[in-house]
Amino acid sequence: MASDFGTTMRGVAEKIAHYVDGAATLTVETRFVEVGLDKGAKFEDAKPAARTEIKLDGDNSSVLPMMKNESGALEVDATVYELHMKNVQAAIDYRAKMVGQLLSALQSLRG
Amino acid sequence: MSVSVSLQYIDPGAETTGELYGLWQTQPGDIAGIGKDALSFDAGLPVRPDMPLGGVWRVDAAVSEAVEAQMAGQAQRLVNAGRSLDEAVLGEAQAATLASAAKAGSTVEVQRDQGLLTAFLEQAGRQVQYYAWVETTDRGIMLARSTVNWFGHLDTIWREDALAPQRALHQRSLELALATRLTTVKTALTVVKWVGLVARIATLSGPAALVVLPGLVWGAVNDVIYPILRSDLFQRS
Repeated sequence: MASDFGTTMRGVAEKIAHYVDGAATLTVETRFVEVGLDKGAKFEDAKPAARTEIKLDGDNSSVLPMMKNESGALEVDATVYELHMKNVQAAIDYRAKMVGQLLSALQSLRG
Repeated sequence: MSVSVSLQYIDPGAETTGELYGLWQTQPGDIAGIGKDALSFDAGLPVRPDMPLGGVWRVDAAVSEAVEAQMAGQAQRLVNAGRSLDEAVLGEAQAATLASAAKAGSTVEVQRDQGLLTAFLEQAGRQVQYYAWVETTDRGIMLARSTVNWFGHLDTIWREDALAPQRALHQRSLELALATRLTTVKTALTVVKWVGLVARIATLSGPAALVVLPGLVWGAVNDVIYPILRSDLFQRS
């Protein structure tokens, strides 16, 4: 029966390892819905505003909306940028804590 | 000052209403299809066609600085509870007591804890396996919905005309929902770690290790976090 318990613990460790392996790329997307239109506002009609991809190896890329200012130069929409980057930071912090927890558990289960 | 915030966790797998960490009111969702109180940005539109298996974290409040401060405090309390679990050391004496109780077999209290632990682990599994939705409403008016998986993939749809304080409220909703999910995972992993530790120390195996001990450890883990979650500073209005 002792091996049953060991098998259970190994199974838990394998599941955790599988989750950590699958956590290679993080994507954060921000979209908007216009309200008050005749047709009504639906989640499916949300318009993309910004998108960021972050890989575990540190590579990351963002697509951000640009607007022409009075002189005709392109600049980032500050409100959308701030809103999106807050979510990016929240997602990064959350991922770090979640992966940290899983790795800590994995270490103790294998130890 | 006490302010009014409604925190609901609609769990497709739950069978009864309840609460989570003394913070969220939990209620069953309709796993087969449409949520019971599905929301839309516009009243009168068809409700959403699906119900996420990872559940819906729904926050409704009258936007104010006091509400935002209260939610920030609640998220911090969850962080503190998680930190206490990190710092908690299962001493030899406590491990010996748990092992001895496990060898003695199940009692009514242990069976109750086993049932609670099973339900908790099933809920934790749903939270980890599936995308969850985080929805924020300002006195019933939909402000934003985020979908987020266990790893942090995050997709947020905002009401275009949401004001800065309303946007801040949804950020707090997201923070609180994610802090809750982290606490759930940490609690579940701590139970697994402690069960393994006690079983190793006491060379337990079979039903004593796999059936009785987890219920006992579940009680011990809750003894670490609930005094923090239920302190005077952690009041849900």
